[in-house]
Amino acid sequence: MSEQKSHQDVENMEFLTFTLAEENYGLEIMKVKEIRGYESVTKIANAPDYVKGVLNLRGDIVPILDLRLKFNVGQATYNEFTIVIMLSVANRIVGIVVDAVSDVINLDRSQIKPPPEFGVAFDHKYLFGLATVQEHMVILLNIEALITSKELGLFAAEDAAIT
Amino acid sequence: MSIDMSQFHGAFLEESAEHLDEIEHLLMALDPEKPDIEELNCIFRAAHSIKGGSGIFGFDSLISVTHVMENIFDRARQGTYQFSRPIIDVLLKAVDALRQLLASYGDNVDPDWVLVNLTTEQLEALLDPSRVALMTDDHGFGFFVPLPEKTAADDGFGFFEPIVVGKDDGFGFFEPVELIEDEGFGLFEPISKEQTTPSNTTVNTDLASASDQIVAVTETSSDEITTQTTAVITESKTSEQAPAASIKKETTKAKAENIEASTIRVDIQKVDSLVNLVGELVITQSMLTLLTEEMIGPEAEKLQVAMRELERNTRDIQEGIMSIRMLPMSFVFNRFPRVVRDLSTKLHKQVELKIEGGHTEIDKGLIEKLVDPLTHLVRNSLDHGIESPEVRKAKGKPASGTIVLKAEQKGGNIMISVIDDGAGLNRQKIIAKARERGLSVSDQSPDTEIWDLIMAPGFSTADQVTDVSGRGVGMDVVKRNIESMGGKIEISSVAGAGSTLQIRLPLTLAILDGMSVAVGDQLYIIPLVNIIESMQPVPEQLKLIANQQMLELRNTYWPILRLHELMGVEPKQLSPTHAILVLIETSKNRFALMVDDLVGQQQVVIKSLEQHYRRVPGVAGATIMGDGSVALILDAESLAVPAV
Repeated sequence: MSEQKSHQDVENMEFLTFTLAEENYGLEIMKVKEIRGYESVTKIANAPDYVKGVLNLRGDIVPILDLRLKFNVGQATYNEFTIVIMLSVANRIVGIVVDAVSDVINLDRSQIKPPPEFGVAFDHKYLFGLATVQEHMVILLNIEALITSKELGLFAAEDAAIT
Repeated sequence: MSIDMSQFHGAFLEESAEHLDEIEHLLMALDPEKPDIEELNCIFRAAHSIKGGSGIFGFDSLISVTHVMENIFDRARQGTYQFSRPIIDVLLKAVDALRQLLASYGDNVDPDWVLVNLTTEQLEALLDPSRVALMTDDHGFGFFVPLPEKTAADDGFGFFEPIVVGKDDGFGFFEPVELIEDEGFGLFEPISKEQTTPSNTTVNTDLASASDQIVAVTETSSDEITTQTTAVITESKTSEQAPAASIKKETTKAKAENIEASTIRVDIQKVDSLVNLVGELVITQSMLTLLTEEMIGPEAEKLQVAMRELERNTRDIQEGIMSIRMLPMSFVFNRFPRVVRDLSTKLHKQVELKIEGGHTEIDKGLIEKLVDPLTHLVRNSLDHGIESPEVRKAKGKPASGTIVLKAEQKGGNIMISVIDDGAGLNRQKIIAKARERGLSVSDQSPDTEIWDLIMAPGFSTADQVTDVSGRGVGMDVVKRNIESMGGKIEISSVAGAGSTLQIRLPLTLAILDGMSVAVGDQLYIIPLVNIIESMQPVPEQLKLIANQQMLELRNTYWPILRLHELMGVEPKQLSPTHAILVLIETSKNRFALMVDDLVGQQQVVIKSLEQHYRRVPGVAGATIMGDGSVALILDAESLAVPAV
């Protein structure tokens, strides 16, 4: 709890940046559990297409999402370079498929600009804002809000309400 | 300096609950005519421990009830109190009240003071012989206001032992025998005779409460002893050296006792995480075995030998860890003497309860879920099974009926039986009832099928509704509960001679016997309990009824469900005649499940999908296969129900 609070208050935030197709995204590094290569998953019946399935993460059965499918960004291809970022969000572990992981960046609050109301694949309520790093625009995701959102429907309704 | 006592609440409440169980158990076994002095001592000590702990935590309601209880048993163990069945009834009720109070402290709500006062009054009344005599005839006892002088005598002290304290030298903590002769408590050498005599009440009571508190604290947590002791000393009002010194002595004694203790309390979550980890270890181990088996050469041989050693060790560890979760069935069974006693009194029946195999061990998770179904079955046997003494005599049976609760382990299953020598099930009545409810029954049906009818949903035996059974929870709920644990329930009954209800359960919840089946590139596990048989049909067996393909087998029609359609995968086989049909029976329906292939029967460790994802219709959970991949465990119950 104290961790969460502190990085809300502190001026600096650390983000892990990754790419989906041509776009650069960032998510809070504190939410990242680990990064690993994509491996085949077990399909889940009647799940939305962006839920690829589940895999075994050292004994935990963890769902894997492909946000490229959910937000229509680029091609959902899977090869040896495809990366899964394991997130630790709201006491759950969820993996997201990304094209590549780039860097860890340290941003000052003042460097984060408010997101536009439209024009990005993600709804602005799932964004912290935008930042420019080495002349690239990075879209900063509020990954916790996104993963626990009703839109993704990842958790049962009553669980989502609690988180 | 203040210490947060709330951290010990949980341990205290849990322990007190155990003490109450012990008191109840001993009370049930107590012979009113010739009570066993050792048993009385045990009850006294248990009541005393609860009181002591309540004192520390300020649970006043518990103090006032246990205090009177303690007085009763103190007198009893000195031989100046005569028990009788009604008195034991009152005491049992007091135990119930204490349970309720414990629960309210556990939930952080205010205790029910009306209940406290009522219970205290009832218990106090027991101490007055003239009123006990009255009580034996009058069953409305305890509801009248106690005599004023009675309350005056007791309430002045409330917290501490009353003046009688002088008689109770041991405060319940020490072995009473030596203490009765030794006014110095056997431990308090430095204190002079005068200080310990009843005339010096201050020292005495303070000592009493101080030692009470120490007893409870040491029981709570040995790590905290030192700090707690200091706290108690500062809290106690006496500034004299003597009590402080004696407290230290007691502490050392208590420490010694703690070292000797043969059990430890462990958070169940710690055990569960070990169970999980060991599951992982077993999987990793089998992956390694697979890898080494592919290797060749002299080095590989050595490796394989070592792997076999590892396999044995991991299996031993797994069994060992699993056994930590195991509890003896007596945890469930021990509550039934009370249930039977109360009920038989209420129903004016004479029943003897026999418990067999209480030492049989079963998973803790199952223990908790077994309580309700078993209670229901025992109540049923008592209410509907066992006849009244008059009827039994007329039938030439002994007036007192017998209910046997039996547990035994058979292979990977545990069998729990409720056997009564009552009237047995009435075949005609059940058939009539079933027809009334619009179920089709043939008079020729074998008994087992008829008996199963009483577990059909909605098969309410409305004309039999009594206070005891026949309301609300029916046999169908029992059946569903048992099945949700992966178990089965079987009934056998002989008219006039009694019935037997047998529950068959897997030893543990964490492991499931399953059949792995393949569809396309995916593997699924079907719980073995649901599978009747598997077969590849010939074209003649396939019939089209109302546009649905059915399998005809021995004159029964089975609707065919295609697993690949339910799970949305690409099958290898499209025609039933090339695929395999697994015949599945659930509590609701029967169907044939079409799969590509049977892979094999195996035990799987059940993992939750909900922990990181959500419930998936038709899926009970997931498991990790030998190669580390995930396979879904099908939930046969919900598979045939269309997804909502």
